[in-house]
Amino acid sequence: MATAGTPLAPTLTSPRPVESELVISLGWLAGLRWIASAAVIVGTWVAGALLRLTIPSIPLAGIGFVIGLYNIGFTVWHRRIRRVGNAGDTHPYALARLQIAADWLAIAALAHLSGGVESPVIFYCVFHTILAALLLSERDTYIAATAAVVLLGGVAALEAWGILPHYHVPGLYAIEHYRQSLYLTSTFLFFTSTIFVSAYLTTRITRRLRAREAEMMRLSESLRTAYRQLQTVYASARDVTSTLELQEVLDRLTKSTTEAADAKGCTIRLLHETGTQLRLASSYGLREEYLHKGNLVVDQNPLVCQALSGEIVAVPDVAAEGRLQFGTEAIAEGIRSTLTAPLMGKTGPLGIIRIYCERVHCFSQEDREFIASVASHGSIAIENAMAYEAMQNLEESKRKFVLLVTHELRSPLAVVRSLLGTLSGGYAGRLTDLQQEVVDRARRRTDFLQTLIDDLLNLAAGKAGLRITGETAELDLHEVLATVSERFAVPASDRGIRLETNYVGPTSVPVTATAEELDRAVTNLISNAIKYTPQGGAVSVTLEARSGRAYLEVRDTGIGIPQESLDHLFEEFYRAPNAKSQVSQGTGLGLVITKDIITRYGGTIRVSSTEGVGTTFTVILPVSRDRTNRSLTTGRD
Amino acid sequence: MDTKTILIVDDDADLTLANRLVLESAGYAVEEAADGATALKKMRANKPDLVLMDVMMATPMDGYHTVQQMAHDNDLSGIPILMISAVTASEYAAQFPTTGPLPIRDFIAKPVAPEALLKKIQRCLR
Repeated sequence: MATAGTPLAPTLTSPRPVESELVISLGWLAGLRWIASAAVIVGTWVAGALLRLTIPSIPLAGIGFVIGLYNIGFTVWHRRIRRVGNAGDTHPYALARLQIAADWLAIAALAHLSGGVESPVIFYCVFHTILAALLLSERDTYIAATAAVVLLGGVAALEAWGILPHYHVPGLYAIEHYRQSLYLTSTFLFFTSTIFVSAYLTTRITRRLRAREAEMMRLSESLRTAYRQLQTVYASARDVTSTLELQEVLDRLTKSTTEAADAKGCTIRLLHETGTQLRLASSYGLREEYLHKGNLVVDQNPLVCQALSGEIVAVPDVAAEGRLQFGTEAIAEGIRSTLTAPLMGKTGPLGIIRIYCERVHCFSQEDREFIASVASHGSIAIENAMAYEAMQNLEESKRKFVLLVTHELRSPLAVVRSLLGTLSGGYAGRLTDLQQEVVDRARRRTDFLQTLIDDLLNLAAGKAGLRITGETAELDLHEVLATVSERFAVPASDRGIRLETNYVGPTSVPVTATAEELDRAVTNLISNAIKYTPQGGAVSVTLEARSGRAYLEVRDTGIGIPQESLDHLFEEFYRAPNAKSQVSQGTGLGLVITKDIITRYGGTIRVSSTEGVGTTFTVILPVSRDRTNRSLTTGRD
Repeated sequence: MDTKTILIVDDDADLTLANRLVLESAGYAVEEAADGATALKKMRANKPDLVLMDVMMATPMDGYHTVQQMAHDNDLSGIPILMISAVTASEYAAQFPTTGPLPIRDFIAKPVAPEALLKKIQRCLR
């Protein structure tokens, strides 16, 4: 998204790649020129002093000096270009043209002083043609080539006509050619063709090189953009899916999208349940005044309709777009172009995501692809968060329902029981024996009804995974058993039943459960054992902890359970035939609830029984780790 | 010994009747209020020795809010309160922390056994 949103893209503020390449080349050329300048001076000295050639040494060395001198100017200019960049009069092309022109003049002067058309210096013109082709445009290269031909040709012609003096270098040629027309013509033709063919070949190669370079630049730029977008999409996807809170998901989406698109702002609007309006669900970067302009009405908004049908909709110029519901407000906010993508859920559109830009024609094809991918991963995150929210609401309404039913069923029954209680207790006057008997029977039936309702609600709550009975905690099963068995001591002895409790192993057996549920499970088992044991029998409860498990065994010498009933024992409302016939009261829910509780806390329940001999229930619960270690340590102390 | 006055605040007339019978047979004077506003009015007119307050009432001002009003009223904040509700003990505990600023002495769950009610009231009045 390099072009989206920023008024001046970075590529416009800094030199283009081709130009920065030119600036580097110019530096390199200036560097070479120091060597050329030195070579001219040294070469002149070598030719004059060592080879004893008769040459105008002082003017030649002077040219070498001049080359060095103007190179100082070029170097300073070049440094300035590098420092301030491409601004105003420091255009690198001007420097390139001037360097080539200065060098041509220097070469022409050197050639003239070292024999004119006979001078070997003229070969250097080929180098400069190649250099011009590398540094300048094609047109400038041909101008430079023509200048070389005119310059050198001019020198030769002027020398031949005697207008310029001819410096003969004895030893270079035995006879002087500079006035021989055939030599002059052929040299001129070959020189000209060499220069122009060099110019042609080099510019062709350079043209292809430059085209490739530009293509590579474009590719690497789009690769960089694609990589950046991919990173953004990935980062925002990760960020957005790391939470299940709907508002959090939406806020992260608008923020990350704005930042990634380098846009003015971003909004997410979700469809109202009726499907006729879009309400603002989250925004980033826009003012409150603009945001609170009102809901988008689907029917009045063709652009929204288009987006909701699954299209990406661009408004390149807000001022020129007549189909906007809040066009004036958008312009007042400084919005000049927008890009909208649909948020599509599994079953239909969820809403829209829109990015805003302060410039017209701000969004490119890449931006469209970007917003499409943001919208698609955003939709998944939004849908997940919505599903999670719905699930939580369902849990809450289930919980509320159970509590409501609890209250609605329990309340009237409680009133009936209270009223019967006042009658039976004689608070409303003394009753006759018959009246007392009738009231007590009514009380027993309402007591049973109360138990049934409690059992049903507990079972329903347990099955629904609702914990209406408080928080789980680490509880000492030892203590729970002691409390429950104490509660049953009187009822058991009233019925002539011996109730005994045995503890094997550590004095503390920590298990994780809610206090009420653990109490209920233990109570159910002991009360069953007492209920189905005839007078004179015994109920023996043993708690043993070994290898990370708690074993609670409740053994009675009761009526027992027929073999064929054992399989149905944990079914709702099931009561064994012998239980029904011998003990009138029983809901058939106690064991179901007990098993449900034990299973939910990671335990198991087993039963073995012989009819007429007795029954043994064994509950196995996992012992909480931390406390076991601690109690073992304490035990050693 | 003075006759202690107990104000029963409950929107359920049947339950109020049951509790009235029990309390009167034990020698208490009983006042009644079917909603929080009436209760506050009666309390201000004639300060009771104890308030037996139903938590959940289908009236604009339920037991919880009535108790809060009492806590903010210097004349009423000292009256001991026995809360009565159909919720279980742990649900109740979650709703009314015993360490709070409210002058709640105790809690009794419905259905209310007459003996248990009398025992709790005796303890609250002590």
